[in-house]
Amino acid sequence: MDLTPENFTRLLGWLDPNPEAAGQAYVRIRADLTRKFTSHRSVIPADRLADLTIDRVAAILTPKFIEDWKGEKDRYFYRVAYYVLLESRAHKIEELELPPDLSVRFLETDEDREIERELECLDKCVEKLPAMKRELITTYYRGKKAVKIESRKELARKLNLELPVLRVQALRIRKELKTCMEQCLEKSAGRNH
Amino acid sequence: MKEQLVNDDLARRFLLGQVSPQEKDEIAELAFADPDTFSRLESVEDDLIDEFLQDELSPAERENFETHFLAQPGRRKNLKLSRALQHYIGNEDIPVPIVVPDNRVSVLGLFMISRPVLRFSLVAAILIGPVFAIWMFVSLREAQQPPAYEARQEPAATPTPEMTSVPTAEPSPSAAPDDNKNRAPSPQKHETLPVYAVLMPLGPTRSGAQPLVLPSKGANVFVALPLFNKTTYNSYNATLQSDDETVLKSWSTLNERQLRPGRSLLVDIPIALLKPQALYRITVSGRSADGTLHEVDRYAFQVSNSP
Repeated sequence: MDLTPENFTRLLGWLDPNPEAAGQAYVRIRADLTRKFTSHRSVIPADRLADLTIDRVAAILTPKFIEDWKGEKDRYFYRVAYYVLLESRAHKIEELELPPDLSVRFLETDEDREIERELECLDKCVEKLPAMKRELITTYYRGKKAVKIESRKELARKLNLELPVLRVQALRIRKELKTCMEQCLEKSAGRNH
Repeated sequence: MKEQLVNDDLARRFLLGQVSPQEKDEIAELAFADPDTFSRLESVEDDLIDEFLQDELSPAERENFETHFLAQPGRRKNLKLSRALQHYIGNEDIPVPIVVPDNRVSVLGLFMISRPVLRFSLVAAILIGPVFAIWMFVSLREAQQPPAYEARQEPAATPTPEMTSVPTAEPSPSAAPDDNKNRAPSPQKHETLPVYAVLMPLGPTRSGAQPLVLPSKGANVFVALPLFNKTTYNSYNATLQSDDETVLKSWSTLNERQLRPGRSLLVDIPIALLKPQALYRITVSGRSADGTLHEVDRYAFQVSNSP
């Protein structure tokens, strides 16, 4: 989504009728967005995401939107930035989609093959984890309903952690696994080409 | 708002699209401004995916999960990772719900059924209905004690004599094929689809497991469990167990329905739970007015290969 001169002019006009103040507001908002994206440690450069957010906002602005707008403008950028952040989280793996013609090489269905590859990669990635993390993640996701809840409580007791802290730990390990799996699947897709 | 967002319930409702537009905007803003809040949302997101895969979401949550949650960027990829994790960790017995791919939503949306498994089952049943009906008829004639596949019949507004008749404890096997022949589902009549299998309870005249042939299409097999107890209960619970007594699935608050075999319960078993040739048992208990459970019947079956 490119920022057209018309959109940019409209954006500046919305930020402030005074061109100089609008320019300052633009610079401030961009810096703020970049700082915030940096704190989220996105895999995509923070300034690129900041620009993408600004472009999105500029594309949304219509005369009616500007006329109806009430409230802090910075917050609207944050709102849009949240969804850009969600997209950025998915972006890397989106690039790993297999080409449609790849299916002819497989005897199984695409889905079976995909699950198989995921499991192979996951197996490798879990093996790479230090023993403690491996135990944590496998125990954390084990079981269903009451068994799962009890298992998590027991794990928290064993590791001397509060449950919310355990959850954050599990999430971090899960992110590690996700990154590892993305790399593994990328390699796997490369081999299959 | 931040204090509120620490509350998992609000995060959950936000992710499922169950908050007001104002709350939605505020949470989105806060999630971007505060990485801790974003991280909290990710944790709740993880829990929701976990619950979806383990079939623990309520019907309303499930609907929102499929229509709203999965529509957000990256969520389907996370679902795939979680599914792989569940398999890896050994929760293979969990049902793996079918997630309707984006490009198929509109077609399946023609059927006003919220759960995708049911939508798929319905579509599959409509597509294979006529073939399946013929196969059912043939297999019923060939088998001495088949778990007869029946056309699902919603209770009629005016019950027919057949529906209200009291079933015998052990229906005559010879009566079933002819009976079934007359009821072969017609592709024009949607109310006769999809089909279900009938399992007779274990009892004085039946002690072995009945063969259960899984349909070749669809994610679930629908099984009717005829009730021969004289006492009627407010509701029923049922539990599916494997041969080693591992509980694979439980159903609660099942209600009696008037199906072809008479008073019956209808349960849907995710095919993913069943392994070929394995033995399974379903135990049905009735809940009386005071809330106590009383075992009513047991039904045993062995999964057979598709014909």
